[in-house]
Amino acid sequence: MDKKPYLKIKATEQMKQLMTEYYIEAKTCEGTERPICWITSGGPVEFLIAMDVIPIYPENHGALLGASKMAVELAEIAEQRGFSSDLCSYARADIGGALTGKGAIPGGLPKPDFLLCCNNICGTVVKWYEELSRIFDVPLFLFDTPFIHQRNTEHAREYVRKQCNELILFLEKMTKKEFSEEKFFEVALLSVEAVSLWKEVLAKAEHSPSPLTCFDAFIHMAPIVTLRGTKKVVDYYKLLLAEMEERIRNGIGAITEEKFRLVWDNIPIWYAMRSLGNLFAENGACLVADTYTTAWAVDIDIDEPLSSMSRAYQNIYLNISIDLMLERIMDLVRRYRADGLVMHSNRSCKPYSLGQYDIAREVTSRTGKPVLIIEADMTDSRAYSEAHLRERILAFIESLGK
Amino acid sequence: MNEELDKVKQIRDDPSFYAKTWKERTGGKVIGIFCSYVPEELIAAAGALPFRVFGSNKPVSRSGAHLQTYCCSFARTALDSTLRRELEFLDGAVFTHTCDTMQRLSDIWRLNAGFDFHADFVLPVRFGGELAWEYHLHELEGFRSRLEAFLGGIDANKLEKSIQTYNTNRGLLEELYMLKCQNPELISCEDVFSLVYTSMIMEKEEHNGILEKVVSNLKSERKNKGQKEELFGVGSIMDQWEFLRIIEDVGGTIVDDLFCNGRRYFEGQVVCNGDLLEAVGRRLWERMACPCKHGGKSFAKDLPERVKNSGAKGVIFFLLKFCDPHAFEYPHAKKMLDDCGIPSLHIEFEYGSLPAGQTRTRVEAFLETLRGRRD
Amino acid sequence: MIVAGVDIGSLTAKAIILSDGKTIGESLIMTGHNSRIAGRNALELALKDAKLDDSALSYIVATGYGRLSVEFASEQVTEITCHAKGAHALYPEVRTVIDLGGQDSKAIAIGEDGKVVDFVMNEKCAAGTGRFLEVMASALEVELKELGDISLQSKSPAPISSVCTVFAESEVVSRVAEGVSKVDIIAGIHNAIASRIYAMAVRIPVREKIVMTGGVAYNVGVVRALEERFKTSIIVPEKPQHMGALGAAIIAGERFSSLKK
Repeated sequence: MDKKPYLKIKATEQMKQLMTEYYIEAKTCEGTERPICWITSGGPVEFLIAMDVIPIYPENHGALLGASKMAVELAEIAEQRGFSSDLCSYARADIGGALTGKGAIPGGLPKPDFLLCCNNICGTVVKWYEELSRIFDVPLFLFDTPFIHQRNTEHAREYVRKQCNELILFLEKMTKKEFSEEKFFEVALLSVEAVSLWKEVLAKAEHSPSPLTCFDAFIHMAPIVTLRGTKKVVDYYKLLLAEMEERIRNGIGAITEEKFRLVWDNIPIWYAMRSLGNLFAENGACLVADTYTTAWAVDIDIDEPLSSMSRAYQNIYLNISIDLMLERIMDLVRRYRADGLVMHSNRSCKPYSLGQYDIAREVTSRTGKPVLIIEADMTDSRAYSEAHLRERILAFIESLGK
Repeated sequence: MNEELDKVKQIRDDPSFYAKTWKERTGGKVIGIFCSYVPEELIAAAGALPFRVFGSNKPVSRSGAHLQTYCCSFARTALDSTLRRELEFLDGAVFTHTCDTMQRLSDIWRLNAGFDFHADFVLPVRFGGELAWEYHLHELEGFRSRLEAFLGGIDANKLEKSIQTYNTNRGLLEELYMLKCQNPELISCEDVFSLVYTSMIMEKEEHNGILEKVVSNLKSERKNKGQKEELFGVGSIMDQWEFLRIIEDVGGTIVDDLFCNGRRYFEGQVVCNGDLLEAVGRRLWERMACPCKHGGKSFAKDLPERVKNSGAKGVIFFLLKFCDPHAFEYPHAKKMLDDCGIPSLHIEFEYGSLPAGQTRTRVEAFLETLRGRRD
Repeated sequence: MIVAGVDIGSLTAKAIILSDGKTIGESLIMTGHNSRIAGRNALELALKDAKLDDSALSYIVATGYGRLSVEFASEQVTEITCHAKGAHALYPEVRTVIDLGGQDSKAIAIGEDGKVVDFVMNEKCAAGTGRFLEVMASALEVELKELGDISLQSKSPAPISSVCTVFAESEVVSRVAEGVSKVDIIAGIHNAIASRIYAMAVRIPVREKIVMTGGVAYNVGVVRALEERFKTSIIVPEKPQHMGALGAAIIAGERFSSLKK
């Protein structure tokens, strides 16, 4: 019998179904009364769900394009139109898709009626969405979350908080419907519940042997990112959490033999997930935590949904200074009892990658744990050299054993 | 006038020397800045010298330990300069929100370069609407407080005087550009950009003195209008002097632009009616925007009109490699120009690696194309 | 009226002598380290070929990378304008020129009147140039001049995805180790070149007819792969490497005529 190093999660089937239904529903609504809004991964989707708008995430699509290896073809289309190949590969692939109607789902992503861009993840999305606004000739709302260097200010918090009201007015105009505070509260509650479940799922990896790896988390994060605020997502994570608890009860780990525990930093290398996942697993290394999936594990106070949401959106991992990022990574390394840190130096994501060198040195200096930095790109496989990377990863894992 | 221009080029080629000498002479503080959205008038009103930090053509040695190679060479070489202790005369550094790279550079700079004073202030990315305007003012006020804590109080008189001096400088640079547009033979584009560049590192009063002389000389010059191909420059920073010399050498010249250290630096006057800080803020708000800002007077919006008004027959996109905001603007800006029948040339550069021969061929071929259209 | 065009490239120097529009002499030599000497030698060889000496020449235009280093030129014009001029003179229907040289590649859009409308160049990266082919030939231990013919024999080209010459070389080595046939790898390399060139060329308006110039045009595999990418047949002149010199000589003739007026 061929023993895989890596145990498959049963709930994956349901997750795939959930996501398939979501895309089908969205595609079916294209051109109908039900509005479609393209939104950034860090955007305040709760408002959209409350207004019965279907959210579409070009970044999630970007991950699919990477995983299905379609990204290069679409990126080339954008490059032929003059977009530099140094630009974010999500943006290039998405723009290529928007220009041609191609994509990972048949017929491409359903066209947007309007766009919601939140710059808490980067400044690239602002430019990317400006281009989308031109391509589709639709309005764009920029939810501006000022960057936090060391500490936030009261007036910045006010600014973000008040933009929620502006956003509501914008959505009312776009949907020609009235915003219902009641409905929003419902959605916020569901969102809080889903996030809380997601946090619990991720926290299960503190256990040794860990019932999940971050490669699993990368796949299972899709619902929390795209459908946060719906009942379906709450039900899904209850299912996933139950399976994780079962594994723990039975002492089952995600990988055959957990020798080393590692923390991952940055967006996954979508087209190499399986091969990397296997490589680490085969060598007893379990990636137990990461800075990417934990970004959606925010704290929301249901008694003050708008201000706590504004605060949460402004405080995400990419919107804070390097010293604050370091603290979060240190926390992960400690809580998950990591033996080392693996950082993906991602060509496409400057806010995530610039500063890694300083963070790596600090982590090693404070904890004595080693750090491996691997250069690649999240969706553009042309910037990836498997042969070189394998060697370095193996050498790193070997060094953990000494 | 050549004497003045030579002096300007000397200062341009060794800004650190100027800053150090200024410090010795006045005992004042020098504050490093990285973006044209910093309200320099405040810094000057507090008696300090706002000193624009530029990139360097020297090869990078230290900053590779902090910044990956896939970010712009402005960030990498500027960081390198400070890590190599070439900027020790700076008493502080001010970073305002520009782009993702600059945002991280600020953190890395703060954590590794360690000046006495480091201020970050985050102006909105949305440059339009009441809400963002309110926030914009609050951030400027916050910045003023931080400055005052370090440099001492900035009273209204000092600020007003500073604003007037800056306005004079802007007016003179505006005149310079106008004279250049009217007759491109009057002064080389290298000299024009050198004048703007030195304005960003020198004490404004001193620079005004130089500008007044130069402008008055230009007004009285009698040069025939020649056959130079007039070009319009688009990009972030234009400080590649070799490149400008090549352009002139092959029979072209840049008569107007959207550069950060070109027109964007001096466009608009501060109109003082009411609160001074608000007036300063309003100029930043209404001036042509950097691609890093959204809304308002967006970057390429009136590009074809500006090109036509300047008399330029072609556009050179001079883009810094890895500058994402400009790279995103390029395709649609080019399309706008194509639709108006305005030819354009795209050159990507990195500090320290602008290949003279190849660049010359491109520019020359482009000018040949423009001349071909004329015939 | 006898005029000359001299094209001093980074690898080879070429010269063409025209007498009232007809080619009466030509040359092609390696440039070596000294462009100035190479330019002079190329011109002298072409004159010898025409059985003339340089006193017979009314006007000389120099082009190419080394055009500034020669003192004998009456004028310097860039190779972009010269390639367009030469191609249009031979093929008035040309609207796009793709020039693949030893170390650089370019695409030129030409108007009906033969004037350059737009152009795009790549000199930073070897992929898509003669250098790339040299590196690959060496990696596969095959003669450079056989590469093109071999590529045509493949029924299923191996995909080579890297855009960088160095990475691509490493990919090739991996494919060889996996047991993929040389023929298929070579075909894959030619497809990769075509992709690179295509990606560069489409930044300008690409229209028929397309003419290929430069030394790489001798490689039938590259020509065929490009024809597939552009979905049209590509004209390859008899002497693709001389197009720049030819264009320069034609321009020399035009300049001299207008001076006489």
